[in-house]
Amino acid sequence: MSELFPDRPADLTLPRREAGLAPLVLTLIELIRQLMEAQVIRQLDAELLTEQQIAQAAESLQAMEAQVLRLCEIFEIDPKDLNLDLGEVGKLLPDRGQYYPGQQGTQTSILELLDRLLNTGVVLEGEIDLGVANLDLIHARIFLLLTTRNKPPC
Amino acid sequence: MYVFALVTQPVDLTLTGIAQGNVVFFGTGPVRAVVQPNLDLETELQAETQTLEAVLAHDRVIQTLFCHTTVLPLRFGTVFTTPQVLLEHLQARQDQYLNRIQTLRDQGEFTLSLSAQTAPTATVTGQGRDYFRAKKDQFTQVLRDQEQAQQEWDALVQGLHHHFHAQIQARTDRLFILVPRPHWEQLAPWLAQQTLNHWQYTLTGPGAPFHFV
Repeated sequence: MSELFPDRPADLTLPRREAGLAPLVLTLIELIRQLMEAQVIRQLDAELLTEQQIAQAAESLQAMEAQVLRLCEIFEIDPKDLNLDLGEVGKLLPDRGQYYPGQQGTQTSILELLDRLLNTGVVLEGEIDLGVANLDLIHARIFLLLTTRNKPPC
Repeated sequence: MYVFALVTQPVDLTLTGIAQGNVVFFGTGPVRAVVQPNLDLETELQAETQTLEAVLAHDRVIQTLFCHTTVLPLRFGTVFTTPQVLLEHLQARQDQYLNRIQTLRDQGEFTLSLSAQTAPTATVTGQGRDYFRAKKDQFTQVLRDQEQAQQEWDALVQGLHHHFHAQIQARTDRLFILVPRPHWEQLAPWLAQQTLNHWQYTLTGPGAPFHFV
């Protein structure tokens, strides 16, 4: 029984080579988590949240971070590796403490770009054709408005 | 003809070049080239390990020369098609190279590698508003640390100019410092006395003035 259900967390770890796409998936989860955190901070600074909402948001964000760290432990991933270096564009995520919404960041990152885009609002318009073997099968016209919540509609 | 460096006078040294080849002094004028004749560099650099060994050999020849005379180092991979072309080149630019070698006389290059110690390592925790306040505090602290680190960097560069009359080539994470020989022994103790709370540093040198040619 104890072999089937080991009680030591270390027994859950997988060899790094078996982690596969886990680092990429966890990186994207961390990006979304930090993006949501940035939106909470903006709404908090604009005094749009109640104390209860602030408490719930803080708890949820920390729980998500703890979960990501736990998965890093299982897959033997260094949490510092949850990032992408995009060369001249900067990193996907800023280093710890290097960005705060509404403030001038000290290093460029995709997170900061997305946060500012969401804060300002951005409209994406385009068409997508999906198909195989030179056959157009699906045609999609997209008109997408991306903006943070609690902003008046355009 | 592969060229390592330029000097003003031959040195009585046995130098081993790339792939254990012989290194000789070439030229008749006041500026001599340190060369390895009959080296087919393309053949020697077919494997990555050979390239690394060749780069190290290039560096070793120049550093050995530096210990005995003033040297004007050339980039790795400097090749002249024939001895005649090299000879004509040396004659055409003789004054220019002589002046440069004169300015480098009794000067050594130090490398000061600097690593900023400004990033917080602690994960922010807290309940409710305290959690987000701690996030802002962390950002503010990082900004303050970076400002102080920049001030320390600027003071360091000014101090090097002032105390050692040093020429400096700055990169994002290192300083190449050209220091006159009388100050070589003083540099490390002086650095140890400077306020560098936000930096970890490593000093190496003196060596050939690769970044001041």
